[in-house]
Amino acid sequence: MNFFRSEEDARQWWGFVEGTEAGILPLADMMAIMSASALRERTNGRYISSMRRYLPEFIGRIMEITHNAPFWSLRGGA
Amino acid sequence: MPDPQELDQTFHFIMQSFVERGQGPHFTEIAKAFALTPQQGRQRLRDLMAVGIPAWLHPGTDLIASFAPFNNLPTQYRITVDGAQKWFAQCALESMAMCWAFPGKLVQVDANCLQSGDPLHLEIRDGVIERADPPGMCGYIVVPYRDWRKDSAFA
Repeated sequence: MNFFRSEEDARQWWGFVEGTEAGILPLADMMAIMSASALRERTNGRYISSMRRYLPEFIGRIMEITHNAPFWSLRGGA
Repeated sequence: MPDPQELDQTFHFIMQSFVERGQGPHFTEIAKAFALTPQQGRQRLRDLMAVGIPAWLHPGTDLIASFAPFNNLPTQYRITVDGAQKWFAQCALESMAMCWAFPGKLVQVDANCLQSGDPLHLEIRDGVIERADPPGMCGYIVVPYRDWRKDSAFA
């Protein structure tokens, strides 16, 4: 993922692909996703042995924030 | 099958190396930290990279290229903590997770918009965005989430 000055800039970028508008996220949503335990707990000293526990929360948070957009689903079509 | 506790220790050692000096360790440093032979240190690194974390080695080598949230090669996501700019984030999303590696500290993210080239600046502390300039900045990824693992470096 890359940062852009605005959503308009992201849409005008040469690498933008029609149909992937759901891939644009405001900062607040990005921060919310990256505040899940899967990210917060990386320095706890037992991350690898416990990371499976963090995955459901991380996936759930992505789906909640993106309103279950197929683009963000592990299974759905874009 | 690698020992989960050993994987935890190796992960933590690499993470702490990035936090403290801005770079990931070579496998010989992993070996030294855990009183292993260089070959055992290399295997520890390879075992860890195989568990599915968002990290990878430079192709054809045993050199850490990326280890989320950090990148061992310079990226456009420059990270400053306590006035020192010695870290690079793996991507825009991971630049925002960088704050969890520096609890209580103000983490500054500097990058440039890929469309306009304009400078972008973020200040984050413990998951709170304290400043965003410009305030309307956003993130964009062209790859659907389910395909991130097919090409993590591109995603």
